[in-house]
Amino acid sequence: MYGLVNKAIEELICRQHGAAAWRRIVERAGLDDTGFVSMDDYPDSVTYGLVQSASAELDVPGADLLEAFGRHWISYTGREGYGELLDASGRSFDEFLDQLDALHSRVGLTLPNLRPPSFVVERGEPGAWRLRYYSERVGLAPMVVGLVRGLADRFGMEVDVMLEAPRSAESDCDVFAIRLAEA
Amino acid sequence: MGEFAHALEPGAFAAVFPFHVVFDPGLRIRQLGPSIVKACPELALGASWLSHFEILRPTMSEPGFEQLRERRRAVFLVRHRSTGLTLRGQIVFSDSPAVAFFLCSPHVTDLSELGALGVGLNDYPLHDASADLLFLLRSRDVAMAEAKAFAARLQQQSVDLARAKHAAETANHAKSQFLATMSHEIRTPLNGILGTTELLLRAELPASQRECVEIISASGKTLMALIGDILDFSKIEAGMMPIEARRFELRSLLREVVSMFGPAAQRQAIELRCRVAEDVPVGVVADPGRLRQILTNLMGNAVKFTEAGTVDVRVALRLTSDGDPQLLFEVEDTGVGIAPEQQARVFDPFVQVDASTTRRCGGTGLGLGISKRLTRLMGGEIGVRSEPGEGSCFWFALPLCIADSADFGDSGREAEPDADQVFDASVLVAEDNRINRRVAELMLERLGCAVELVPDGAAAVAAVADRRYDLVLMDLEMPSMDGLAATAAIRALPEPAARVPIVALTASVTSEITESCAQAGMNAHLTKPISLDALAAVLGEWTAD
Repeated sequence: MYGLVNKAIEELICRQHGAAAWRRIVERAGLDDTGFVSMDDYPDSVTYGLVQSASAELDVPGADLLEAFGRHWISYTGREGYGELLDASGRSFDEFLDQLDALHSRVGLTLPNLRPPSFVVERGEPGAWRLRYYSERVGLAPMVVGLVRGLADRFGMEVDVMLEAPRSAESDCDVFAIRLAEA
Repeated sequence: MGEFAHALEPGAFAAVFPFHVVFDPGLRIRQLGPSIVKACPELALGASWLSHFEILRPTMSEPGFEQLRERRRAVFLVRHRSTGLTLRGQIVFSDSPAVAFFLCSPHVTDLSELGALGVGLNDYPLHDASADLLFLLRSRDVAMAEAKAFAARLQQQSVDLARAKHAAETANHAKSQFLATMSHEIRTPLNGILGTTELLLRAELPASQRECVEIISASGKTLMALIGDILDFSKIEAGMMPIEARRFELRSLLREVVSMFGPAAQRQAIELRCRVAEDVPVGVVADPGRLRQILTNLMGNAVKFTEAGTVDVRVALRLTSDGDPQLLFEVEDTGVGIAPEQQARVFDPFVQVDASTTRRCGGTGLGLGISKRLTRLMGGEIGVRSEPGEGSCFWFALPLCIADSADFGDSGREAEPDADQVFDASVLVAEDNRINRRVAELMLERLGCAVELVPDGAAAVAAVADRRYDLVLMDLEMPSMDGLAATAAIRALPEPAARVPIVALTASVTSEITESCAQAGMNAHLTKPISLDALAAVLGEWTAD
């Protein structure tokens, strides 16, 4: 994954647990604490290693960390130079969801080796969506929950996201049910 | 390929070209794509295309329908006059009906421009890669900003490093100054204690008082040794321990060190033996002071930790694995020995193997640590072999550097000093410390000298200019004019005052100090605390007719 992802994890950990905790996590993952370059391509094992080490070091389930990371990712990229990209990708939660797959395709076309996920969004009754998530990578479904919540945060909304049907031998995607939270 | 039988329906066409404009031969707008309507809401059907748009490329003087048709192979860049939206595309002509299609999309170089124009990425058709380019350009900006941040961080680190280096150098200098000051300040009062007790011990004293004075003297000497250890260790750690290369007679030095332990060995019924292999050269080049220090330390430990038995000192030659000759020194005792697990730690600083013996015999636990560092500084190595209950053999090896043996005839040996000797000499003592002045005065008077005391260098120069002395004892560190400056001033006086022998009084002796003394014109130096024997030796050498 690109260094930007690892940097976002670093910022999340440093904000919530302090820089010393991050240094311990990096050390536990067997990495040098020299920082990541946003546009450099790192092996997926680096990112997975960081999440595993953080889970062990902080005694937090990996799924919780991934969800927290997903929620953090939207605000992080907004601050790290991609705010206008997010602005241009939709003026509402609904419009953004609609653009989610095209956005990932465009980004994937300009960054070699990104292997971005793919999304299909179906609108249900007002305030309800069904999101299908396709990825070459495994185990990142909790991150999608966080991403959708982070996206709702961006538009000042609160949504409930539920993994309705996980990827399985019968299904090549995770299916999430999204619903505007009751006021 | 055949005929193109399929064409897009108008709705699909609008989805594929959401920014398109269709105009007729009169250049009046006939159709608008949904996205351009959103970006430029005042556009209206029937309006003049050119009244709303300015053609930036290609360059055209009178753009009419036919002129535009002639440039149908050109890339068109047009700007919406009121919003500034620039559109890039091509013009396609249809004959029936006669209309032109300007098929285009917004030409922006930064995502922020899109926001200002009220256009989003979803306004771009999916087949249009220009939106991807915007992302790529933004990624380039992010990478550039990151590179700049890295460069700034590197520059800051360079500044921080330079600052830290300067701070470290300043601290190191301060430490050096502190060490020098401590060395002087601590030894000065000890000089007073040891000098006066030595004088007292040579006087007639009731037995009880003599015992008290002996305790003071022994305690003072122990304190001096402890301070010496601590200062030496600090100097080595600070990289300030100078190592000299001087020619000297090895056997003579060994005799001197071994004889120092004679009385203690006798008290403990220890037999002291010293054997130097025949092939060990007479004269060697090394640092005799540091060699003496290591030997004294090892022998001190051997005597300290041996209740009774023998302490052997042996010196032999050996070759390293590279074939380089070394001097191998061994100090072997029949003492308590050291457990195997403790042998590796004995050279660590502040390690004392047997705390009870330490309490009984004293010591800082620095002696072996200092010895190890000194041997390393001299290019050698040190080690120990030991069996608990059987004894220990400490050894160290130094690179052999042979001095010309012709330099070391018997005639070179100095006469034994005699503290009971009487010198009929006139001595000027320049010393700022009142106690040290008094100690020197008492010692010199005991040796039969006429003594004059001055508190600083300027007074010493004035005194030497005023009257004749046989010898000047000059402290190096004094207020207003120090010993080196005073010596230089005396050497500049008219004869015969300029020729008066001057002996430096120093708290410690290093090659730098010796060199400075010689450069200033001093003849010799005495290390504080001054002993009667040393003072007698100096008087014997420099006041003899």
